[in-house]
Amino acid sequence: MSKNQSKIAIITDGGCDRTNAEVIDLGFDIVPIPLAFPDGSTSDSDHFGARDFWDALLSDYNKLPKTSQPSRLTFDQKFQELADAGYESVLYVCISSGLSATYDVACMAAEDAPIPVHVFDSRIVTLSMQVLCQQALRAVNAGLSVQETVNYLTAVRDEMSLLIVFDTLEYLVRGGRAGRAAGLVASALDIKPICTFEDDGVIDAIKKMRGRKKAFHSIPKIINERYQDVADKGDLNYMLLYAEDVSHVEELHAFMKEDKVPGTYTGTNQIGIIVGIYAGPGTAATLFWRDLDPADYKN
Amino acid sequence: MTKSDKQAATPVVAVIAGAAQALKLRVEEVNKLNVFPVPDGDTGTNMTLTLESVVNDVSKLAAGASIEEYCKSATHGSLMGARGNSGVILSQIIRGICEGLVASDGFEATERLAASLERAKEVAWQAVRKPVEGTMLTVIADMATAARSAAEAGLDFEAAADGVSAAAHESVRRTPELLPVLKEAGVVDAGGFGLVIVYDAFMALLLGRELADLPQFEPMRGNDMVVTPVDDWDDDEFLYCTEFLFMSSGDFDVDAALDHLGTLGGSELVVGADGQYKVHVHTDDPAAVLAFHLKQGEVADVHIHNMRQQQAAQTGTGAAGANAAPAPHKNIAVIAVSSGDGLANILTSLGVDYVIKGGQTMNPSTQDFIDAAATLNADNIILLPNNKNIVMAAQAAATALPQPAYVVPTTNVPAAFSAMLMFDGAATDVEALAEEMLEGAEEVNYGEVTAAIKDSSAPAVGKIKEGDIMGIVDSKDIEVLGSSVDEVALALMPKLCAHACENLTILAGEDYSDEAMEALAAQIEKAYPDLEVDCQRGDQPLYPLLLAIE
Repeated sequence: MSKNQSKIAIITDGGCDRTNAEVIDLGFDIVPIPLAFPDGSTSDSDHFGARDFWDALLSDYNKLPKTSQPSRLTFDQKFQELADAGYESVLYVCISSGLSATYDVACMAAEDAPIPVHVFDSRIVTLSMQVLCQQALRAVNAGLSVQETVNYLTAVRDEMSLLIVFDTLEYLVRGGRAGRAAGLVASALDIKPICTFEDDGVIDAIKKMRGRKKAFHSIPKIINERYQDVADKGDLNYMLLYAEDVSHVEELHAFMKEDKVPGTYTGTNQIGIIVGIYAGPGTAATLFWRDLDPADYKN
Repeated sequence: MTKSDKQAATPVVAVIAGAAQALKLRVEEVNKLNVFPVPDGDTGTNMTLTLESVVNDVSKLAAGASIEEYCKSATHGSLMGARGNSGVILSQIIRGICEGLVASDGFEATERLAASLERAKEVAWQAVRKPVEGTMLTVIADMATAARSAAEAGLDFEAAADGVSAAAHESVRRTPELLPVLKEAGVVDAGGFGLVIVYDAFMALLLGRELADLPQFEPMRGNDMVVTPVDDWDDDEFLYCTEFLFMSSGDFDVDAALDHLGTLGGSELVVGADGQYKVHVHTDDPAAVLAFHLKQGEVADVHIHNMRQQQAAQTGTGAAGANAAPAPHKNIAVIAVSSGDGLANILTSLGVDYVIKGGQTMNPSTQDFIDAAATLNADNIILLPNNKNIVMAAQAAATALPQPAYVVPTTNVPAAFSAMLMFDGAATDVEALAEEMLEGAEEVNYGEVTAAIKDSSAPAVGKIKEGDIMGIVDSKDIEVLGSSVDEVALALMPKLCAHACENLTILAGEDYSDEAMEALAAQIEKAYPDLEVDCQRGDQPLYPLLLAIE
């Protein structure tokens, strides 16, 4: 992936589950998400690579931090920094407004920023945001304006599907992020909900299955239905996401290959701290998106 | 005394009550005809409870009520009291008779007999989606045909009634020829037999004959045949309405028993004869009432109802009493039936709002569903009967409820679990939701492990001895026979796991330990390494294990 050759800065936040060090060559910056630990100490998401985080989580759940939104000052400083670096505008791919108040803080900061800032609600979380940033870079490098890039990104976002199979909803509930899936938590049975982000960016269980295998087995069907109207599936890509144990997602992948899901496999990635706090170690997910052509969105 | 004098002098209520009582006295005989050697919803009990509800309703009518009023009341009473398939079909027969009687008003008696039995046949057959020959449906059809022939032949009422009786007896005798499962078990159809008992007693009383003269009836004291009407809702002095059947082991002094019950409560009632009695009392101490009778014999079909809760449910003030806050308003509320606290807890955890205690051993009535719905403040109701014998009562309740109500005809509790996974409390098209829930339920392969309660046989396993452990598929096919629960459970697995199976739920009965369940799960996991096994406590009675595979 080439670096940003335009005057439009692309940024995202820690909700993408990556640190600045991890994306240093990709052409976009990350505004870290602050963390508050139970012992009173604070840090931010940039200090936790995915592997460090899972090691810490597994040692003791009670030592896990809480997340909060970046401060107004953080955004003011970031936008000033980008203006000083010579960028003429900023496109910020923000963590879903259905999960975090980060979007609201960023919108307020954007009004007073020295250069125009567009806050784009990703309505999603984790590496999906990284994909959106990479697509945005492709668009700005192809010469699209901020507004054209936003139109393009909206199309990419609306064609994205993140399907998550939680091993337990316990982490989501403890973190207060269960959304409309919260009703499932009391269940006495071994239920694996398949969750996704709805159009309003709130997480919801679209299917409730008995056991992990049944849940994994139903994912190819959901994907096939979701993309059945796409005539040319050549631009469809997918990645797999795992939390602590990669074997779960390998099992999921085997089901997907067996059922011949469409799309090009781009790799398997580990979920990081911001989503991991709420997802728990047994989580397995798959992200589908269409690699739409930015040229179609240039006026 | 002439026949017509006697007819005029016999109150309608006493005739109906006598017919109900005649069935009650032979209830065990009818129950024993149940083909399936599992503790099932008993046909005789269900029919009796249905008739009792009729008696209860018609006896509330004022003296001099019209035939229309009697018919309306009997129809209502039978529907509200209907339990089990046999009870619901009986209630439909009663409804048909009533409709026929009203429609044929003014015609002569034999024509009215034919018209009412024909209408009864029609209504009963309509009530069953897949009518099966060799059941009470065949018997009522044969009775209707006989009555029509008698009317066309110009027979008088008494001769016509006897002709119908003869046809009914012949029809019951013929049921094993029509239904192989009866022949296999060497029995006649329980429902048809019960229907004949009721019809014969009803006609004998109507015609002023002695029941004792009926060939297959034991002598019965005439005074015991009238059930005193009791209104359970007007008695607020005592908390529990306690009802049960009592089989005395020796001489039983009814008057002494009534005296003793009077010291324990009110509205006391002991009816019956020949060692079989129905006891009814309102008391604050049901245990003392039961203890008193247990010293002198056996009890069965014990019902203890908290009248304060029932009353609250009836007036819609919620089960916790008049002062309780009304249930929170919901778009859709779900009512399910199950026995066992574990099963009820799982259902509740999946979003079921009200669990009616019942199932194989006790089929809830239509009224039980209506009472449950009354405690829920919901715009729509979904009913999960969880037993094939309860489906019809649920459907009758769905029709009678004031709000839109839909039955997902689940035939076992694990099917209800899967149905609830499809549940969406915010759904606007509730009918479509009910269909989706049924699709979920249909994914379940269901097995039961239980002990045979009598000698029997089944095509797949041959002879069955009382006490044998049976493995049953879909609550109907006895596929495995053995001597231990675990052995039968393991042998049942391949019968349930024919196609791609991914998940097994083991539900342990009340007498099956966690340790035994863990050990069984380990054995199954070894044999089926790809299967995910979920062990749960169902705490259901009588069935040590329920297995559900998806």
